[in-house]
Amino acid sequence: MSAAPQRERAVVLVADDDTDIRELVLFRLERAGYEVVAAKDGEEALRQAVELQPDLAVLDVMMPKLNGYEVTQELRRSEATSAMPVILLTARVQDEDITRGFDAGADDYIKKPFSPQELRARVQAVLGRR
Amino acid sequence: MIGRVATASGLAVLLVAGALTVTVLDYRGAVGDRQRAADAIADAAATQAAEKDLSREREALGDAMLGLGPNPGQTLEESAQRFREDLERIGRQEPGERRLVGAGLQANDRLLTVTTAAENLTPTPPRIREIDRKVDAAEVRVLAPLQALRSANLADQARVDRSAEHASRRAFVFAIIAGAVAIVGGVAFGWYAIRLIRGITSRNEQLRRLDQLKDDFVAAVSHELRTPLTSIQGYVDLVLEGDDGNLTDEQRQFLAVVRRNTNRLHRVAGDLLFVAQVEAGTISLQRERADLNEIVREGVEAARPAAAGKQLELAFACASTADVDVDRARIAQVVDNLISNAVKFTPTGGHVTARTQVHGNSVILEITDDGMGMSEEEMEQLFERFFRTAAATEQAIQGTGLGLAISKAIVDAHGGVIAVTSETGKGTTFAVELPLADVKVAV
Repeated sequence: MSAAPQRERAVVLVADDDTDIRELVLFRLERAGYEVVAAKDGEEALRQAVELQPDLAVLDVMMPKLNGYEVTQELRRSEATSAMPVILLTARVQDEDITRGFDAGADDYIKKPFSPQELRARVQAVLGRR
Repeated sequence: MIGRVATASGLAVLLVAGALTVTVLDYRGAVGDRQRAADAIADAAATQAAEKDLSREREALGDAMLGLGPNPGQTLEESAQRFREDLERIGRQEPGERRLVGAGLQANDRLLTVTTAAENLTPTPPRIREIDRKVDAAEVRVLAPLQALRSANLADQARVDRSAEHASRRAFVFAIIAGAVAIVGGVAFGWYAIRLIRGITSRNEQLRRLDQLKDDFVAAVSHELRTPLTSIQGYVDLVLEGDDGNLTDEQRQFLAVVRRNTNRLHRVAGDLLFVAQVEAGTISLQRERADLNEIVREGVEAARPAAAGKQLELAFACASTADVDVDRARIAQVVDNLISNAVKFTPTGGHVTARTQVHGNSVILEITDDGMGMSEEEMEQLFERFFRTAAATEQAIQGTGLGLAISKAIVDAHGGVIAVTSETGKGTTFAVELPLADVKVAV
Protein backbone atom coordinates (compact mmCIF):
# COMPACT_ATOMS: atom_id res chain seq x y z
CA MET A 1 0.00 0.00 0.00
CA SER A 2 1.49 3.26 -1.05
CA ALA A 3 0.62 6.24 1.08
CA ALA A 4 0.25 9.64 -0.45
CA PRO A 5 3.57 11.48 -0.66
CA GLN A 6 4.27 13.89 2.15
CA ARG A 7 3.40 17.41 1.05
CA GLU A 8 3.44 20.83 2.48
CA ARG A 9 -0.22 21.29 1.77
CA ALA A 10 -2.82 18.54 1.52
CA VAL A 11 -3.97 17.91 -2.04
CA VAL A 12 -7.70 17.60 -2.60
CA LEU A 13 -9.21 16.24 -5.79
CA VAL A 14 -12.59 17.81 -6.59
CA ALA A 15 -14.77 16.10 -9.19
CA ASP A 16 -18.09 17.56 -10.33
CA ASP A 17 -19.56 17.86 -13.80
CA ASP A 18 -21.31 21.12 -12.84
CA THR A 19 -18.69 23.79 -13.51
CA ASP A 20 -20.20 26.32 -11.11
CA ILE A 21 -20.23 23.95 -8.20
CA ARG A 22 -16.79 22.60 -9.05
CA GLU A 23 -15.40 26.14 -9.09
CA LEU A 24 -17.18 26.99 -5.86
CA VAL A 25 -15.73 23.98 -4.06
CA LEU A 26 -12.28 24.64 -5.52
CA PHE A 27 -12.45 28.25 -4.42
CA ARG A 28 -13.56 27.36 -0.90
CA LEU A 29 -10.92 24.69 -0.43
CA GLU A 30 -8.16 26.84 -1.88
CA ARG A 31 -9.15 29.53 0.54
CA ALA A 32 -9.04 27.01 3.33
CA GLY A 33 -5.41 26.37 2.40
CA TYR A 34 -5.57 23.20 0.38
CA GLU A 35 -4.02 22.44 -2.96
CA VAL A 36 -6.83 21.48 -5.29
CA VAL A 37 -7.14 19.48 -8.47
CA ALA A 38 -10.29 19.40 -10.58
CA ALA A 39 -11.96 16.73 -12.65
CA LYS A 40 -15.18 17.09 -14.64
CA ASP A 41 -16.31 13.48 -14.88
CA GLY A 42 -15.82 10.13 -13.21
CA GLU A 43 -13.19 8.78 -15.57
CA GLU A 44 -11.04 11.87 -15.26
CA ALA A 45 -11.42 11.76 -11.48
CA LEU A 46 -10.24 8.15 -11.36
CA ARG A 47 -7.25 8.88 -13.61
CA GLN A 48 -6.20 11.90 -11.55
CA ALA A 49 -6.65 10.01 -8.32
CA VAL A 50 -4.32 7.24 -9.52
CA GLU A 51 -1.76 9.63 -11.05
CA LEU A 52 -1.69 12.36 -8.43
CA GLN A 53 -2.42 10.36 -5.31
CA PRO A 54 -4.33 13.23 -3.65
CA ASP A 55 -4.83 13.25 0.12
CA LEU A 56 -8.59 13.41 -0.33
CA ALA A 57 -11.12 13.01 -3.13
CA VAL A 58 -14.34 15.02 -3.06
CA LEU A 59 -16.61 13.37 -5.61
CA ASP A 60 -19.98 14.39 -6.93
CA VAL A 61 -22.33 11.41 -7.14
CA MET A 62 -24.12 12.18 -10.40
CA MET A 63 -21.34 12.46 -12.92
CA PRO A 64 -21.07 11.27 -16.51
CA LYS A 65 -19.03 8.21 -17.54
CA LEU A 66 -18.45 6.94 -14.00
CA ASN A 67 -20.63 8.11 -11.13
CA GLY A 68 -19.29 8.89 -7.66
CA TYR A 69 -20.18 5.45 -6.27
CA GLU A 70 -18.36 3.71 -9.12
CA VAL A 71 -15.25 5.88 -8.79
CA THR A 72 -15.17 5.13 -5.04
CA GLN A 73 -15.47 1.40 -5.66
CA GLU A 74 -12.66 1.53 -8.23
CA LEU A 75 -10.44 3.44 -5.81
CA ARG A 76 -11.07 0.88 -3.07
CA ARG A 77 -10.31 -1.98 -5.44
CA SER A 78 -6.86 -0.74 -6.47
CA GLU A 79 -4.11 -1.13 -3.90
CA ALA A 80 -2.57 2.26 -4.71
CA THR A 81 -5.76 4.12 -3.85
CA SER A 82 -7.59 1.79 -1.48
CA ALA A 83 -6.89 3.97 1.57
CA MET A 84 -7.61 7.28 -0.09
CA PRO A 85 -10.28 9.20 1.87
CA VAL A 86 -13.39 9.93 -0.15
CA ILE A 87 -16.14 12.44 0.54
CA LEU A 88 -19.21 12.18 -1.66
CA LEU A 89 -20.86 15.42 -2.63
CA THR A 90 -24.47 14.69 -3.33
CA ALA A 91 -27.77 16.24 -4.19
CA ARG A 92 -29.27 12.82 -3.63
CA VAL A 93 -30.26 13.05 -0.03
CA GLN A 94 -32.47 10.05 0.46
CA ASP A 95 -31.33 7.58 3.07
CA GLU A 96 -30.75 4.82 0.55
CA ASP A 97 -28.46 7.09 -1.51
CA ILE A 98 -26.35 7.85 1.53
CA THR A 99 -26.22 4.21 2.57
CA ARG A 100 -25.15 3.30 -0.94
CA GLY A 101 -22.29 5.79 -0.71
CA PHE A 102 -20.98 4.25 2.51
CA ASP A 103 -21.39 0.78 1.05
CA ALA A 104 -19.23 1.83 -1.90
CA GLY A 105 -16.51 2.81 0.57
CA ALA A 106 -16.95 6.56 1.08
CA ASP A 107 -15.74 8.10 4.34
CA ASP A 108 -18.29 10.86 4.53
CA TYR A 109 -20.86 12.71 2.50
CA ILE A 110 -21.89 16.32 2.07
CA LYS A 111 -25.43 17.16 1.03
CA LYS A 112 -26.02 19.85 -1.56
CA PRO A 113 -26.59 22.64 -0.92
CA PHE A 114 -23.85 22.90 1.65
CA SER A 115 -22.55 25.74 3.74
CA PRO A 116 -18.88 26.75 3.47
CA GLN A 117 -18.44 25.90 7.15
CA GLU A 118 -19.75 22.39 6.64
CA LEU A 119 -17.47 21.78 3.65
CA ARG A 120 -14.44 22.98 5.54
CA ALA A 121 -15.30 21.08 8.71
CA ARG A 122 -15.89 17.76 6.99
CA VAL A 123 -12.79 18.01 4.84
CA GLN A 124 -10.71 18.85 7.87
CA ALA A 125 -12.21 16.02 9.87
CA VAL A 126 -11.55 13.40 7.21
CA LEU A 127 -7.98 14.63 6.56
CA GLY A 128 -7.25 14.83 10.27
CA ARG A 129 -8.30 11.23 10.74
CA ARG A 130 -5.45 9.95 8.61
CA MET B 1 -68.93 -3.31 -21.24
CA ILE B 2 -71.19 -2.74 -18.22
CA GLY B 3 -73.91 -1.47 -20.56
CA ARG B 4 -74.01 -4.73 -22.51
CA VAL B 5 -74.18 -6.79 -19.36
CA ALA B 6 -77.08 -4.64 -18.17
CA THR B 7 -78.91 -5.16 -21.48
CA ALA B 8 -78.59 -8.97 -21.24
CA SER B 9 -79.79 -8.98 -17.64
CA GLY B 10 -82.67 -6.67 -18.55
CA LEU B 11 -83.77 -9.03 -21.37
CA ALA B 12 -83.83 -12.01 -19.01
CA VAL B 13 -85.89 -10.08 -16.48
CA LEU B 14 -88.37 -9.03 -19.20
CA LEU B 15 -88.85 -12.63 -20.38
CA VAL B 16 -89.52 -13.92 -16.88
CA ALA B 17 -91.93 -11.06 -16.24
CA GLY B 18 -93.77 -11.90 -19.51
CA ALA B 19 -94.22 -15.55 -18.53
CA LEU B 20 -95.57 -14.58 -15.14
CA THR B 21 -98.00 -12.09 -16.65
CA VAL B 22 -99.50 -14.69 -19.02
CA THR B 23 -99.96 -17.15 -16.15
CA VAL B 24 -101.65 -14.58 -13.95
CA LEU B 25 -103.99 -13.49 -16.74
CA ASP B 26 -105.07 -17.11 -17.29
CA TYR B 27 -105.79 -17.51 -13.64
CA ARG B 28 -107.77 -14.31 -13.49
CA GLY B 29 -109.81 -15.41 -16.54
CA ALA B 30 -110.81 -18.64 -14.80
CA VAL B 31 -111.90 -16.76 -11.71
CA GLY B 32 -114.03 -14.50 -13.87
CA ASP B 33 -115.86 -17.43 -15.51
CA ARG B 34 -116.60 -19.01 -12.22
CA GLN B 35 -117.81 -15.76 -10.74
CA ARG B 36 -120.26 -15.35 -13.60
CA ALA B 37 -121.67 -18.86 -13.10
CA ALA B 38 -122.15 -18.26 -9.38
CA ASP B 39 -123.78 -14.90 -10.07
CA ALA B 40 -126.26 -16.59 -12.42
CA ILE B 41 -127.23 -19.09 -9.76
CA ALA B 42 -127.61 -16.43 -7.12
CA ASP B 43 -129.83 -14.50 -9.49
CA ALA B 44 -131.95 -17.59 -10.09
CA ALA B 45 -132.35 -18.12 -6.36
CA ALA B 46 -133.21 -14.50 -5.82
CA THR B 47 -135.75 -14.56 -8.60
CA GLN B 48 -137.27 -17.65 -7.12
CA ALA B 49 -137.66 -15.97 -3.77
CA ALA B 50 -138.98 -12.82 -5.35
CA GLU B 51 -141.61 -14.66 -7.31
CA LYS B 52 -142.86 -15.95 -3.99
CA ASP B 53 -142.70 -19.46 -5.35
CA LEU B 54 -141.65 -20.40 -1.92
CA SER B 55 -145.10 -19.60 -0.60
CA ARG B 56 -146.34 -22.62 -2.51
CA GLU B 57 -143.72 -24.75 -0.94
CA ARG B 58 -144.83 -23.36 2.33
CA GLU B 59 -148.28 -24.58 1.60
CA ALA B 60 -146.94 -27.96 0.64
CA LEU B 61 -144.72 -28.17 3.63
CA GLY B 62 -147.05 -26.72 6.17
CA ASP B 63 -144.84 -24.98 8.69
CA ALA B 64 -141.83 -25.88 6.71
CA MET B 65 -139.05 -23.42 7.00
CA LEU B 66 -136.36 -22.88 4.56
CA GLY B 67 -133.15 -22.06 6.27
CA LEU B 68 -129.58 -22.69 7.02
CA GLY B 69 -127.70 -24.43 9.72
CA PRO B 70 -128.93 -26.57 12.53
CA ASN B 71 -130.89 -23.80 14.19
CA PRO B 72 -133.14 -22.24 11.67
CA GLY B 73 -135.37 -20.03 13.85
CA GLN B 74 -136.05 -17.68 10.97
CA THR B 75 -138.94 -16.65 8.76
CA LEU B 76 -139.22 -17.98 5.26
CA GLU B 77 -138.16 -14.63 3.78
CA GLU B 78 -135.18 -14.40 6.05
CA SER B 79 -134.22 -17.93 5.22
CA ALA B 80 -134.53 -17.28 1.52
CA GLN B 81 -132.35 -14.19 1.95
CA ARG B 82 -129.75 -16.16 3.89
CA PHE B 83 -129.82 -18.88 1.28
CA ARG B 84 -129.27 -16.35 -1.49
CA GLU B 85 -126.45 -14.77 0.40
CA ASP B 86 -124.97 -18.15 0.96
CA LEU B 87 -125.05 -18.90 -2.71
CA GLU B 88 -123.44 -15.57 -3.44
CA ARG B 89 -120.77 -16.36 -0.94
CA ILE B 90 -120.15 -19.63 -2.72
CA GLY B 91 -119.76 -17.67 -5.90
CA ARG B 92 -117.23 -15.38 -4.33
CA GLN B 93 -115.07 -18.13 -3.06
CA GLU B 94 -111.62 -18.00 -4.45
CA PRO B 95 -110.11 -21.12 -5.94
CA GLY B 96 -107.86 -22.63 -3.34
CA GLU B 97 -110.12 -21.52 -0.53
CA ARG B 98 -111.66 -24.49 1.19
CA ARG B 99 -114.93 -23.70 2.81
CA LEU B 100 -118.02 -25.80 3.24
CA VAL B 101 -121.33 -24.14 2.84
CA GLY B 102 -124.41 -25.85 4.07
CA ALA B 103 -127.92 -25.24 2.98
CA GLY B 104 -130.77 -26.92 4.65
CA LEU B 105 -134.43 -27.34 4.54
CA GLN B 106 -136.53 -28.02 7.49
CA ALA B 107 -140.04 -29.33 7.19
CA ASN B 108 -142.03 -29.49 10.39
CA ASP B 109 -139.76 -31.42 12.72
CA ARG B 110 -138.21 -33.33 9.89
CA LEU B 111 -134.94 -32.13 8.64
CA LEU B 112 -133.68 -32.31 5.17
CA THR B 113 -130.09 -31.24 4.97
CA VAL B 114 -128.43 -30.32 1.78
CA THR B 115 -124.76 -29.77 1.95
CA THR B 116 -122.89 -28.47 -0.96
CA ALA B 117 -119.22 -28.72 -1.08
CA ALA B 118 -118.22 -25.61 -2.89
CA GLU B 119 -114.76 -26.10 -1.69
CA ASN B 120 -112.02 -25.13 -4.07
CA LEU B 121 -114.21 -25.82 -7.10
CA THR B 122 -114.00 -29.48 -6.33
CA PRO B 123 -116.67 -31.17 -8.43
CA THR B 124 -118.27 -32.80 -5.43
CA PRO B 125 -122.03 -33.17 -5.86
CA PRO B 126 -124.27 -31.65 -3.21
CA ARG B 127 -124.88 -34.38 -0.73
CA ILE B 128 -128.44 -34.77 0.26
CA ARG B 129 -129.36 -36.59 3.33
CA GLU B 130 -132.99 -37.40 2.97
CA ILE B 131 -135.02 -37.62 6.10
CA ASP B 132 -138.47 -37.47 4.64
CA ARG B 133 -139.46 -37.84 0.99
CA LYS B 134 -142.46 -35.61 1.61
CA VAL B 135 -140.40 -32.58 1.03
CA ASP B 136 -139.66 -33.55 -2.52
CA ALA B 137 -140.99 -30.35 -3.99
CA ALA B 138 -138.79 -28.16 -1.83
CA GLU B 139 -135.92 -30.49 -2.41
CA VAL B 140 -136.23 -30.00 -6.13
CA ARG B 141 -136.44 -26.27 -5.66
CA VAL B 142 -133.29 -26.16 -3.66
CA LEU B 143 -131.47 -28.73 -5.63
CA ALA B 144 -132.04 -26.93 -8.89
CA PRO B 145 -129.71 -24.00 -8.14
CA LEU B 146 -127.31 -26.23 -6.31
CA GLN B 147 -127.06 -28.54 -9.24
CA ALA B 148 -126.59 -25.58 -11.54
CA LEU B 149 -123.81 -24.46 -9.26
CA ARG B 150 -122.37 -27.89 -9.30
CA SER B 151 -122.33 -28.15 -13.09
CA ALA B 152 -120.98 -24.63 -13.34
CA ASN B 153 -118.33 -25.64 -10.87
CA LEU B 154 -117.55 -28.75 -12.88
CA ALA B 155 -117.24 -26.81 -16.13
CA ASP B 156 -115.32 -24.15 -14.33
CA GLN B 157 -113.03 -26.68 -12.77
CA ALA B 158 -112.34 -28.30 -16.12
CA ARG B 159 -111.59 -24.92 -17.64
CA VAL B 160 -109.40 -23.94 -14.74
CA ASP B 161 -107.68 -27.29 -14.90
CA ARG B 162 -107.08 -26.80 -18.60
CA SER B 163 -105.85 -23.27 -18.27
CA ALA B 164 -103.82 -24.20 -15.22
CA GLU B 165 -102.31 -26.97 -17.29
CA HIS B 166 -101.67 -24.52 -20.12
CA ALA B 167 -100.36 -21.95 -17.74
CA SER B 168 -98.07 -24.39 -16.06
CA ARG B 169 -96.91 -25.64 -19.42
CA ARG B 170 -96.38 -22.08 -20.57
CA ALA B 171 -94.72 -21.20 -17.29
CA PHE B 172 -92.51 -24.23 -17.73
CA VAL B 173 -91.52 -23.17 -21.25
CA PHE B 174 -90.97 -19.64 -20.11
CA ALA B 175 -89.04 -20.82 -17.12
CA ILE B 176 -86.79 -22.81 -19.45
CA ILE B 177 -86.38 -19.82 -21.75
CA ALA B 178 -85.84 -17.49 -18.83
CA GLY B 179 -83.41 -19.97 -17.28
CA ALA B 180 -81.53 -20.24 -20.56
CA VAL B 181 -81.47 -16.48 -20.92
CA ALA B 182 -80.35 -16.15 -17.31
CA ILE B 183 -77.57 -18.69 -17.88
CA VAL B 184 -76.49 -16.97 -21.10
CA GLY B 185 -76.74 -13.62 -19.35
CA GLY B 186 -74.80 -14.94 -16.38
CA VAL B 187 -72.09 -16.34 -18.59
CA ALA B 188 -71.96 -13.09 -20.55
CA PHE B 189 -71.87 -11.15 -17.31
CA GLY B 190 -69.09 -13.37 -15.97
CA TRP B 191 -67.16 -12.95 -19.20
CA TYR B 192 -67.52 -9.22 -19.16
CA ALA B 193 -66.81 -9.09 -15.43
CA ILE B 194 -63.57 -10.96 -15.99
CA ARG B 195 -62.63 -8.62 -18.82
CA LEU B 196 -63.65 -5.68 -16.67
CA ILE B 197 -61.55 -6.89 -13.75
CA ARG B 198 -58.65 -7.56 -16.08
CA GLY B 199 -59.09 -4.06 -17.45
CA ILE B 200 -59.16 -2.62 -13.95
CA THR B 201 -56.13 -4.66 -12.93
CA SER B 202 -54.15 -3.49 -15.91
CA ARG B 203 -55.32 0.05 -15.31
CA ASN B 204 -54.28 -0.30 -11.66
CA GLU B 205 -50.93 -1.54 -12.84
CA GLN B 206 -50.75 1.44 -15.18
CA LEU B 207 -51.68 3.81 -12.36
CA ARG B 208 -49.14 2.20 -10.09
CA ARG B 209 -46.47 2.70 -12.75
CA LEU B 210 -47.60 6.27 -13.27
CA ASP B 211 -47.42 6.81 -9.54
CA GLN B 212 -43.93 5.38 -9.49
CA LEU B 213 -43.02 7.64 -12.42
CA LYS B 214 -44.43 10.61 -10.55
CA ASP B 215 -42.39 9.76 -7.45
CA ASP B 216 -39.26 9.33 -9.56
CA PHE B 217 -40.09 12.61 -11.24
CA VAL B 218 -40.50 14.42 -7.95
CA ALA B 219 -37.24 12.95 -6.69
CA ALA B 220 -35.50 14.02 -9.91
CA VAL B 221 -36.99 17.51 -9.73
CA SER B 222 -35.89 17.81 -6.15
CA HIS B 223 -32.39 16.73 -7.18
CA GLU B 224 -32.30 19.05 -10.15
CA LEU B 225 -33.41 21.93 -7.94
CA ARG B 226 -30.69 21.27 -5.43
CA THR B 227 -27.85 21.52 -7.90
CA PRO B 228 -28.53 25.09 -9.11
CA LEU B 229 -29.52 26.05 -5.57
CA THR B 230 -26.13 24.92 -4.38
CA SER B 231 -24.48 27.31 -6.83
CA ILE B 232 -26.77 30.26 -6.09
CA GLN B 233 -26.44 29.84 -2.37
CA GLY B 234 -22.72 29.18 -2.49
CA TYR B 235 -21.88 32.22 -4.61
CA VAL B 236 -24.24 34.54 -2.74
CA ASP B 237 -22.53 33.43 0.46
CA LEU B 238 -19.16 34.21 -1.10
CA VAL B 239 -20.26 37.71 -2.04
CA LEU B 240 -21.90 38.29 1.35
CA GLU B 241 -18.72 37.28 3.12
CA GLY B 242 -17.28 40.41 1.52
CA ASP B 243 -13.79 39.03 0.99
CA ASP B 244 -13.87 40.33 -2.58
CA GLY B 245 -14.78 43.91 -1.80
CA ASN B 246 -17.18 45.65 0.52
CA LEU B 247 -20.86 45.71 -0.15
CA THR B 248 -23.14 48.63 0.44
CA ASP B 249 -25.85 48.03 3.03
CA GLU B 250 -28.42 47.99 0.29
CA GLN B 251 -26.52 45.39 -1.74
CA ARG B 252 -26.16 43.30 1.37
CA GLN B 253 -29.88 43.62 2.00
CA PHE B 254 -30.73 42.57 -1.57
CA LEU B 255 -28.44 39.57 -1.38
CA ALA B 256 -30.00 38.60 1.93
CA VAL B 257 -33.33 38.46 0.12
CA VAL B 258 -31.78 36.17 -2.50
CA ARG B 259 -30.34 34.01 0.25
CA ARG B 260 -33.63 33.81 2.13
CA ASN B 261 -35.46 32.73 -0.98
CA THR B 262 -32.92 30.10 -1.90
CA ASN B 263 -33.51 28.71 1.58
CA ARG B 264 -37.20 28.69 0.93
CA LEU B 265 -36.77 26.95 -2.40
CA HIS B 266 -34.48 24.50 -0.70
CA ARG B 267 -37.20 23.70 1.81
CA VAL B 268 -39.78 23.23 -0.94
CA ALA B 269 -37.43 20.84 -2.74
CA GLY B 270 -36.97 18.97 0.52
CA ASP B 271 -40.72 18.84 1.16
CA LEU B 272 -41.42 17.54 -2.34
CA LEU B 273 -38.85 14.85 -1.92
CA PHE B 274 -40.18 13.94 1.49
CA VAL B 275 -43.71 13.59 0.14
CA ALA B 276 -42.38 11.38 -2.65
CA GLN B 277 -40.66 9.25 -0.02
CA VAL B 278 -43.84 8.98 2.02
CA GLU B 279 -45.76 7.95 -1.09
CA ALA B 280 -43.15 5.37 -1.93
CA GLY B 281 -43.22 4.15 1.68
CA THR B 282 -39.48 4.68 2.04
CA ILE B 283 -39.59 7.10 4.95
CA SER B 284 -37.16 5.91 7.61
CA LEU B 285 -36.77 7.20 11.14
CA GLN B 286 -33.59 7.57 13.14
CA ARG B 287 -35.06 7.23 16.59
CA GLU B 288 -33.34 8.43 19.70
CA ARG B 289 -34.41 9.35 23.22
CA ALA B 290 -35.45 13.01 23.23
CA ASP B 291 -37.30 15.40 25.46
CA LEU B 292 -40.34 16.70 23.64
CA ASN B 293 -40.37 19.76 25.92
CA GLU B 294 -36.94 20.68 24.67
CA ILE B 295 -37.94 20.26 21.05
CA VAL B 296 -41.01 22.43 21.60
CA ARG B 297 -39.01 25.05 23.50
CA GLU B 298 -36.60 25.29 20.56
CA GLY B 299 -39.53 25.57 18.17
CA VAL B 300 -41.09 28.34 20.25
CA GLU B 301 -37.78 30.21 20.41
CA ALA B 302 -37.31 29.89 16.67
CA ALA B 303 -40.76 31.38 16.12
CA ARG B 304 -40.20 34.33 18.49
CA PRO B 305 -38.94 36.80 15.88
CA ALA B 306 -41.92 36.14 13.59
CA ALA B 307 -44.33 36.33 16.53
CA ALA B 308 -42.76 39.55 17.78
CA GLY B 309 -43.13 41.03 14.32
CA LYS B 310 -46.91 40.60 14.66
CA GLN B 311 -47.04 41.46 18.36
CA LEU B 312 -48.26 37.96 19.12
CA GLU B 313 -48.10 36.56 22.60
CA LEU B 314 -46.25 33.26 22.26
CA ALA B 315 -46.29 31.05 25.34
CA PHE B 316 -45.23 27.55 26.28
CA ALA B 317 -46.69 25.54 29.15
CA CYS B 318 -44.76 22.32 29.50
CA ALA B 319 -45.32 19.02 31.22
CA SER B 320 -42.78 17.92 33.82
CA THR B 321 -41.32 15.14 31.71
CA ALA B 322 -41.97 14.22 28.15
CA ASP B 323 -39.31 11.73 27.04
CA VAL B 324 -40.05 10.21 23.68
CA ASP B 325 -38.21 7.84 21.34
CA VAL B 326 -38.39 9.77 18.11
CA ASP B 327 -36.52 10.94 15.07
CA ARG B 328 -35.65 14.24 16.68
CA ALA B 329 -35.18 16.18 13.45
CA ARG B 330 -38.49 14.95 12.06
CA ILE B 331 -40.48 15.74 15.19
CA ALA B 332 -38.80 19.14 15.35
CA GLN B 333 -39.98 19.64 11.78
CA VAL B 334 -43.57 18.90 12.88
CA VAL B 335 -43.33 21.24 15.88
CA ASP B 336 -41.80 24.04 13.80
CA ASN B 337 -44.45 23.59 11.18
CA LEU B 338 -47.34 23.75 13.67
CA ILE B 339 -45.96 26.74 15.55
CA SER B 340 -45.08 28.70 12.42
CA ASN B 341 -48.55 27.92 11.01
CA ALA B 342 -50.14 29.24 14.19
CA VAL B 343 -48.06 32.40 13.95
CA LYS B 344 -48.84 32.82 10.26
CA PHE B 345 -52.59 32.39 10.67
CA THR B 346 -53.06 34.55 13.75
CA PRO B 347 -53.61 38.25 13.18
CA THR B 348 -51.59 40.93 14.92
CA GLY B 349 -52.02 41.01 18.68
CA GLY B 350 -53.26 37.41 18.94
CA HIS B 351 -52.12 34.56 21.13
CA VAL B 352 -50.31 31.33 20.35
CA THR B 353 -49.82 28.78 23.08
CA ALA B 354 -47.89 25.53 23.03
CA ARG B 355 -48.65 23.05 25.77
CA THR B 356 -47.41 19.56 26.57
CA GLN B 357 -49.35 17.27 28.84
CA VAL B 358 -48.80 13.68 29.89
CA HIS B 359 -51.82 11.38 29.59
CA GLY B 360 -51.18 7.80 30.60
CA ASN B 361 -48.52 6.44 28.26
CA SER B 362 -48.69 9.35 25.88
CA VAL B 363 -47.68 12.95 25.73
CA ILE B 364 -49.98 15.38 24.02
CA LEU B 365 -48.67 18.53 22.42
CA GLU B 366 -51.25 21.20 21.74
CA ILE B 367 -50.63 24.31 19.69
CA THR B 368 -53.53 26.70 20.16
CA ASP B 369 -54.10 30.01 18.47
CA ASP B 370 -56.92 32.56 18.45
CA GLY B 371 -56.45 33.22 14.76
CA MET B 372 -58.71 33.02 11.74
CA GLY B 373 -59.67 29.36 12.12
CA MET B 374 -61.27 27.32 9.39
CA SER B 375 -64.48 25.60 8.35
CA GLU B 376 -65.45 21.96 8.96
CA GLU B 377 -64.91 21.18 5.29
CA GLU B 378 -61.44 22.64 5.33
CA MET B 379 -60.58 20.66 8.45
CA GLU B 380 -61.44 17.45 6.65
CA GLN B 381 -59.02 18.16 3.83
CA LEU B 382 -56.38 19.91 5.88
CA PHE B 383 -53.91 17.04 5.96
CA GLU B 384 -54.12 16.37 2.23
CA ARG B 385 -51.15 17.28 0.09
CA PHE B 386 -51.23 20.70 -1.53
CA PHE B 387 -54.44 21.64 0.29
CA ARG B 388 -54.62 25.28 1.27
CA THR B 389 -57.45 26.96 3.16
CA ALA B 390 -59.42 29.71 1.46
CA ALA B 391 -58.01 32.21 3.96
CA ALA B 392 -54.45 31.14 3.21
CA THR B 393 -54.99 31.69 -0.50
CA GLU B 394 -56.94 34.95 -0.12
CA GLN B 395 -54.48 36.51 2.26
CA ALA B 396 -51.53 35.23 0.24
CA ILE B 397 -50.00 33.53 3.25
CA GLN B 398 -46.90 31.71 2.08
CA GLY B 399 -46.92 27.95 1.83
CA THR B 400 -47.02 25.00 -0.53
CA GLY B 401 -49.78 23.06 1.20
CA LEU B 402 -47.31 20.31 2.01
CA GLY B 403 -46.45 21.14 5.62
CA LEU B 404 -49.40 19.47 7.33
CA ALA B 405 -49.39 16.48 4.98
CA ILE B 406 -45.75 15.99 5.93
CA SER B 407 -46.45 16.54 9.62
CA LYS B 408 -49.15 13.91 9.53
CA ALA B 409 -46.89 11.45 7.71
CA ILE B 410 -44.17 11.98 10.32
CA VAL B 411 -46.54 11.64 13.29
CA ASP B 412 -48.14 8.54 11.72
CA ALA B 413 -44.71 6.99 11.17
CA HIS B 414 -44.06 7.44 14.90
CA GLY B 415 -47.27 5.64 15.79
CA GLY B 416 -48.79 8.91 16.96
CA VAL B 417 -51.92 10.86 16.14
CA ILE B 418 -52.37 14.38 14.84
CA ALA B 419 -55.73 16.13 14.96
CA VAL B 420 -57.21 19.57 14.51
CA THR B 421 -60.15 21.40 16.04
CA SER B 422 -61.07 24.80 14.73
CA GLU B 423 -63.79 27.35 14.39
CA THR B 424 -63.89 30.05 11.75
CA GLY B 425 -62.89 33.36 13.29
CA LYS B 426 -62.24 31.83 16.71
CA GLY B 427 -59.00 29.96 16.34
CA THR B 428 -57.43 26.57 15.85
CA THR B 429 -55.86 23.89 18.00
CA PHE B 430 -53.57 21.21 16.66
CA ALA B 431 -52.96 18.24 18.91
CA VAL B 432 -50.17 15.72 18.46
CA GLU B 433 -50.14 12.62 20.60
CA LEU B 434 -46.93 10.61 20.81
CA PRO B 435 -46.18 7.51 22.86
CA LEU B 436 -43.92 8.21 25.83
CA ALA B 437 -40.58 6.44 25.94
CA ASP B 438 -40.43 3.37 28.20
CA VAL B 439 -39.46 4.63 31.61
CA LYS B 440 -36.38 2.90 32.92
CA VAL B 441 -36.82 2.34 36.62
CA ALA B 442 -33.72 3.31 38.59
CA VAL B 443 -32.42 0.48 40.78
